[in-house]
Amino acid sequence: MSIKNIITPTFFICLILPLLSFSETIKYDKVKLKRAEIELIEDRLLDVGIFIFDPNIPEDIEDNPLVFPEIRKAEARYIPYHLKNTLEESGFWGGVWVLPDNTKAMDLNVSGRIIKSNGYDVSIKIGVWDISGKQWLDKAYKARVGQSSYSKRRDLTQDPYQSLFNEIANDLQKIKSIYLSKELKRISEIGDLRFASDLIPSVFNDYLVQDNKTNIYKISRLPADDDPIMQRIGDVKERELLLLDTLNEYYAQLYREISIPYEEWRKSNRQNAINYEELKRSARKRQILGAVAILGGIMVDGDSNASGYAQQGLMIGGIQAVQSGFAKSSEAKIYKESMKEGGDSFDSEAEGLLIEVEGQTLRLTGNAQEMFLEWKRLLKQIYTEETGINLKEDSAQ
Amino acid sequence: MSAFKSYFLVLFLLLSGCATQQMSGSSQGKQSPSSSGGMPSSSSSGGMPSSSSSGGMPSSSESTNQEGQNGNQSNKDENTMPTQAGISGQQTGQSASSIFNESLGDFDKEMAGERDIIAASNQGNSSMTAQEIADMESIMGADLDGPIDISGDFGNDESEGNNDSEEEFTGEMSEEEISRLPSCVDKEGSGEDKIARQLRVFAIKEDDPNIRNEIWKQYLKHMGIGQSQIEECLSK
Repeated sequence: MSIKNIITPTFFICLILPLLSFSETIKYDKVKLKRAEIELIEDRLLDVGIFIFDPNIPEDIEDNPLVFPEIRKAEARYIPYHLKNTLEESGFWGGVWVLPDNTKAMDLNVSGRIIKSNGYDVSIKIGVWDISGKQWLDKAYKARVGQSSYSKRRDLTQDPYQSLFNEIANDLQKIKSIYLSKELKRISEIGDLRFASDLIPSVFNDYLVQDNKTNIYKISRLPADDDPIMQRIGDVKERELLLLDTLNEYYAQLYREISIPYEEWRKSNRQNAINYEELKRSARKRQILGAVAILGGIMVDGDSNASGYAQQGLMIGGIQAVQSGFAKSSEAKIYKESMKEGGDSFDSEAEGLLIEVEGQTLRLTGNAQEMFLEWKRLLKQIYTEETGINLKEDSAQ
Repeated sequence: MSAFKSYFLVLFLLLSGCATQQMSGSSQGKQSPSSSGGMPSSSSSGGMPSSSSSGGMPSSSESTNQEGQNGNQSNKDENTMPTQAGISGQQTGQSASSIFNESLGDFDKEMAGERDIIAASNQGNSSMTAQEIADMESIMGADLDGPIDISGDFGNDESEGNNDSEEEFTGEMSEEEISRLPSCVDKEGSGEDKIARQLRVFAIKEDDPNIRNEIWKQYLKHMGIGQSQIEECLSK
């Protein structure tokens, strides 16, 4: 028996053994929320708007059977609402609202895109800009969710994805802490002027300058503290916040109605996802091992009995491993089907709830839009009456 | 000729009468115009009113069109929208400032009404957040002199099961537990939601008949059964 005939099977066994002994240690994320220990002064409190997230529904939905469009749409409203709760709970922010659309009434705007959410793994891309146009954050957040996150003994104000929400809130707080109070106040002032410039551009466009390169707004001059038209604009801003408060009541309703079925879906989907991933991984491993063993068997040559046994052993073992890999693969399909079934069921439940909240949002914002148009017109008229200056046709900044 | 004169005079009077009627009709309409269905419908796609990245609030030309449309409406309705009130105010000689202030107040009322509707629907809606359910459980637990372990498994271990309280409950019931069910309560628990199921578990596990009765009352109330029927059911 040549040395080669000993080395070849040994080599393949050495190659296979680490694969067999490989096991994954899963680390579940636990991030605690930083909370303000004292009440913050007003200048440090920024108003935050969180846009309804991008549900990121793939166009080729049939190729992505485990992405459920209505669940994604519901998540696109549920997740921002829970983030709002988390930010409020931290005590570092002023008012926090979920926004259906763009507004200039906020100091800080948060947008998000759902990359993955199956109850086990969650991944969300977050972008944050202040009203001056400066970007605060552009980051993808990921978390792996443990079974204990779904325990009924936990603090139930904490979402199973709470670590991810806490991480976002902590990051935002960390960035804000870098700013001096006067800088934060300046952001709010820019916000007020951008809102004013939206209502009466021909008057307020001059108060701001936008950097050509960075597109960031800076204040060129400030109106007087007792400027009557600014006070009226402040009144309109209050109404916009009032409208947002009302809209957020509808989002809260959806959040409440969906929270339990959504958690149940995530919990059951998580278990199926784990089983599915585990079986898929196991199937792949067995198929690779089998292929390696077969290859090893082919490479063993020699006339001795020992080499013949080694060749036979590797070939038979390899074929069995490949076969069991296929069996695991079919087993995995059962869990995939189970996920599909559970998802489809919650998907249709979510659809009904979404129609309701979307209808109310459209009705409210539609009505309010007319009102805001009228205020815009009236503000111009008041300005002309009070100053005697006739305003030209406006174009917003 | 005099007949012709009289004819033209009558015709003139008739025509001027019609014109006066029309004018007064339209002016009345502008003073209190509104859409027939309360809040006017939106022509927009429903975004936030203030802005989009390209320019924010809708343009003034849109506003003018809107004004024209509103001016043509003549149905009288109590739900007059602030926008229309503003337009009518201008035509009655109010200053822009007072119309503005008035419309802010109207908008506030509109929003307050909306929030009342939401609050009412929240009261009518039995859905509770997980936290509210937990609070309810803890209150019930306190009433029952210490929490009852109704859940099979609340462990945090990955390998542990996910038994829910109701899942455990719907398994086997002892004869004693069955005897604690009021006659009007379905043994199988059909039509129950999560809260009802939890209330049922609490009631069945409760040894004190008075407390048990109170929990059954809450259960039946939650199931939408009328007060008289509840009393009748529990008195049996």
